[in-house]
Amino acid sequence: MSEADYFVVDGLCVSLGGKLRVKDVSFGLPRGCLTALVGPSGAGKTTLLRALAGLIPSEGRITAGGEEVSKIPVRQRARRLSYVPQGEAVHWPLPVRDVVALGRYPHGAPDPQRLGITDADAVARALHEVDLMPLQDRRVTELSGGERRRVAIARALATEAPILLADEPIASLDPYFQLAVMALLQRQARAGALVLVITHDIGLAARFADCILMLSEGRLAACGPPSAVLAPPRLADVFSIDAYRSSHDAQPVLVPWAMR
Amino acid sequence: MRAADRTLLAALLVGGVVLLFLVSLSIGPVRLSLGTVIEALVGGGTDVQRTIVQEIRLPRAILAVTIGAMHGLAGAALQGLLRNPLAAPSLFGAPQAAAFGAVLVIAIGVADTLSYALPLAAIAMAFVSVFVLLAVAGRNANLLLLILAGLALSSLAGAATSLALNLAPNPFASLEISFWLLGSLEDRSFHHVTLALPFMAVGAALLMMRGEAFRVLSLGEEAAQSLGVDVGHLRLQVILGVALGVGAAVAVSGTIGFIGLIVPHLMRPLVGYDPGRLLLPSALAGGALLLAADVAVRLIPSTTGIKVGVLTALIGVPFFLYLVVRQRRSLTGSLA
Amino acid sequence: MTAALKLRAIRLCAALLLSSAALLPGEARAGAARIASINMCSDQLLMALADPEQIVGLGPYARDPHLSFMAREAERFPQLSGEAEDVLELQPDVVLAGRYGKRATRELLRTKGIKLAEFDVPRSIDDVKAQITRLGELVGHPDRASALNARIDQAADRTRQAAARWQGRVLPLSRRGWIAGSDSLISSLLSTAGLVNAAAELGLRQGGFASLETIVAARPDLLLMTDDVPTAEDQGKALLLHPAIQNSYPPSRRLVIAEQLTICGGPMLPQALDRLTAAIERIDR
Repeated sequence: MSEADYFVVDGLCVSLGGKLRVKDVSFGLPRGCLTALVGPSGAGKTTLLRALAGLIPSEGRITAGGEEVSKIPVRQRARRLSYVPQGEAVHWPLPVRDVVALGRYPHGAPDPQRLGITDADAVARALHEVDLMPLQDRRVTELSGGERRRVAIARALATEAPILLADEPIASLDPYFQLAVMALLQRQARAGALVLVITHDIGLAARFADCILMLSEGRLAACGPPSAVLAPPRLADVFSIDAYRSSHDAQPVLVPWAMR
Repeated sequence: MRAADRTLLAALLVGGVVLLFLVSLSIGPVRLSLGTVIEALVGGGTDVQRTIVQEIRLPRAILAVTIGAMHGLAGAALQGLLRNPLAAPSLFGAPQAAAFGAVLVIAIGVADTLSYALPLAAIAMAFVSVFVLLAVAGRNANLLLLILAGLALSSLAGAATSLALNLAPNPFASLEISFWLLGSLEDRSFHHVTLALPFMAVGAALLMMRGEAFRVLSLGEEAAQSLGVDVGHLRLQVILGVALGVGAAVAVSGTIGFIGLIVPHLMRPLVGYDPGRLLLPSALAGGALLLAADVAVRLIPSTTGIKVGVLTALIGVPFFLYLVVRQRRSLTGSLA
Repeated sequence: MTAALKLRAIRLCAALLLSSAALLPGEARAGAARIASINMCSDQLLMALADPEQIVGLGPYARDPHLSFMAREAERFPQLSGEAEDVLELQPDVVLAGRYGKRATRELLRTKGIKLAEFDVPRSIDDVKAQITRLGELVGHPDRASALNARIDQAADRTRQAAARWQGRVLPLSRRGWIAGSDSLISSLLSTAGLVNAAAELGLRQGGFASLETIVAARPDLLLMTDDVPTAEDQGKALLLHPAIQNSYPPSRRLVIAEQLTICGGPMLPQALDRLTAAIERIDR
C-alpha cells in the first residue's frame, strides 16, 4: 500500500448468516485503476463488494481518500462510491433517461424531470458514454439485456463518484457488448476513477484490467498486475485450470484451456 | 409526461372528487335538490334539511373521500416499496387485522365503538400484520410468498374477528361480523371523522413524503441503498404509515378492500409509471372511487343497504385476477 | 294408558300440530307433567303459568338479563342449548317453541316423536292474551292464565286513561335503524295508548330498516327506544347515538321501555303498559 492509494481496505472480515465469508482481506488501490475481482464461484466476491459498498456490516477498516467510509454520512458516501448490483433490474417501465438520472439522487436531485444544469449535464455525459443517447426516451422494459446493462452502468456513471463498484457487469452479454462494457470501464479508469469489477472472464480481465484481486475461499489469494496474479501456478491452485497464453497487438491473451 | 400534463391530471382528479362529493351530498333516501343541499350546507334551509346534509351526509362524504384516498395511497406506497403492482393492503390482510383489533377491544369490554381505543387497537393490529408479512416474505419480497402469506393472515384475522364477535355477549354478532368484514359508510357522524382523520392524516403524510425514495427503489433495494436510501427505515415508515391510515380507516368503516389495488394501477400509466409521482393521483382517485362506490350502493335498489365493501370487492377481485393473468409469467418465474 | 298407546297418542298430537296451530283437545284437562321450552318468549310464558315442577328446561336466553323479563326466576331451571340433543335426552311431554327459526331443530324433534307446541310472534295484545290462555290450558292452570289476562286488561285501561290527554306520532326505533311495523306488538301497545306508530309514514308498515335521514325527515314526535345507555358496544347501537338523533331527540322526547319488556308478549305486558303510561304522563306535564 503506497501513499498514492486512494481506496484502502485493512483487515476486512464479513460474516453472513453466522458464517465468515470474507477473511481478513487487505489491499490498497490508486485512482485511475481498472481492477478486476476474480475467483471461483463461492469465493466471496459479491459479499466483499457489498461490504465495500457499505451495504452489509463488516469488521476492519475501509478508507476512501483518507476518510473512513463507515463514518461518512450515507448521502455523501453515495456520492463517493457508486455500486451496480449483479443483474440490476428496473422494476417499472421508466424512460432510460429518468433511470440514469436517478444516479443524481445523492446530489440532491431526486426528480429526473427537474434537473439542474450540472445534473442534466452529468446525465447526458453518462448516456453518451454508454452510447444510449438515441434510446434515452425509450422505456427500459423495451430494451435488450445488453442495453439494460448499459443503462445500469450509465446510472452509476451519472453519480460521477470517484469509486465505481460493479458486480459482473459483463455476465450474459454477447461478445461485442462484453468488449464494449470493458472498454467503457477502462475509459472511466483512465479518466481518473477507481473501477472495481467482479468478473468470471479472466481472459477479459487479463486484457483490460490494470490490477487483479484474486479471492479464494474468502481470502485474498493474490493482488497485483494481471501478469503476476494470473500466472500459471495460481490459476492451477485457485481455479484448477490451465490457460492458453499468447499475445496480440502487444496485449496479453489468456484463454482458459483445460481442467486440471 | 410533462409537468403541464401532470397538473392537468391533478386538476381533473380534484374536479372529479369535488363533483362526486357534491353528488354524494345530494343522494340519499330523502330527496333533496343540489341547490337545497348547498343551501343547507351553508346554514340555510329547514332544521331537518340542515341535519340531513350537515350531520348525516357531510360526514359520510368526508369519510368516503378520506378513507378512499388513504386506501389508494397505501396501495401506491406498498407497490412502490415492493416494486410490484399486485401489492395492496387488503391482499396483505392489513384491514382484516385492523378489524380484528377493533373488534377485540370491544369484545373484551375495553371500549365502545366510539372511543379512541378503537382506532388505536386497529392501527396496532394492522402494524403487526404488515410487519409480520414483510418479515415472513423476507427482504427481497417474492410476490407469490407475499400473497400467500397475506392470504393466510387475512383469513386468520377474519376468522379471529368472527370468533371474537361470537364469544362476546352480543346477540347481534352476525350483523356485526358483516359490518367489520364488508365495510360500510352508512350513517357515520362527525364523531367518526374526528376518530379517524388525525391518524389518517399522519399516516398519509408519512407515505407522501417518501415518493422520491420509491422512485429510487425502482432500481432494487441494493442499488437504492447504494444511492443513499435507508431502505430499512423506509420499510418501517411505510409499514407505520399504512398501519396508521388503514387501521384508523377500518376502525370507522370496516374492511373496504381493493381500492389500494385498483387505483394505483389505473393511475400508473398516467404518470409515466413513475412511483414517485403515483402517490398524489392515487390518493385523489382512491377518494373518487370510494365516493362513487358509496353513491352507487345508495342508488342500487335493495331492501337492506348494500355494504360498500361488497361493491369494491365485486369490482376488485376480477381486476386482481386480470392482473394476475397479466403477471403470470413473472409470478411463476419468481418461484425459481 | 299403556306406554305404547301413550306414544301413539303423542304422535297423533304431533301430526295434528303440523296441520293446525289450534288448541289440541288433549292439552286442556290433565296439564302436561314435564314441559321444556327452547324459545325465549315461551320461556317467559311457561315460568309465569306453570308449576316449577312442570318445567324441565328453558331456552339458552332465558337467563339473559337484557332480553329475559324473568331472568332471575330462570336461574332455578336447567338451561337448554336450544338444539335438539338435550331435549331428546330429557324426553319432555311437550316442547314449547317459536314458529319461526330453528326449523331444523323442530323438524328433528317432531320426527323423534316429541310433541311440540309452537307459538307465533304475537302481533297484538289480543294475540298475547290468546297465547296465555292457550298455555294456561296446556299446563293445566287456566285460572292463572285468566288472572294474568285480567292484569293486562287493567294495565291497558290505565294506559288508555292516561292517553286520552295526549296524542302523537311515535317511532319505535331499535338498533341499526330497525323500525317495528304497524303490525307488531309494540304498535299494538302504542295504539292502545292512542299513539300512532310513525312506521307507516316511512313506508315500513311491515317493519324494516330505516336510514337515519328518513327518520330525521319524518320528524316523529317521540322516539320509542329500548335503552338510554350512552355507550355504543357495537355498530348497530352506534346508530342510536348519532348526533342527528341525539340533537333532535333529547331525553325529553324519548320513550324508553327496556327491551325485555317489549321483545316478547306475556307476563311482562302489564309492566310494559305501565311504563308507557308513566312516560305519557311525564310528557303531558
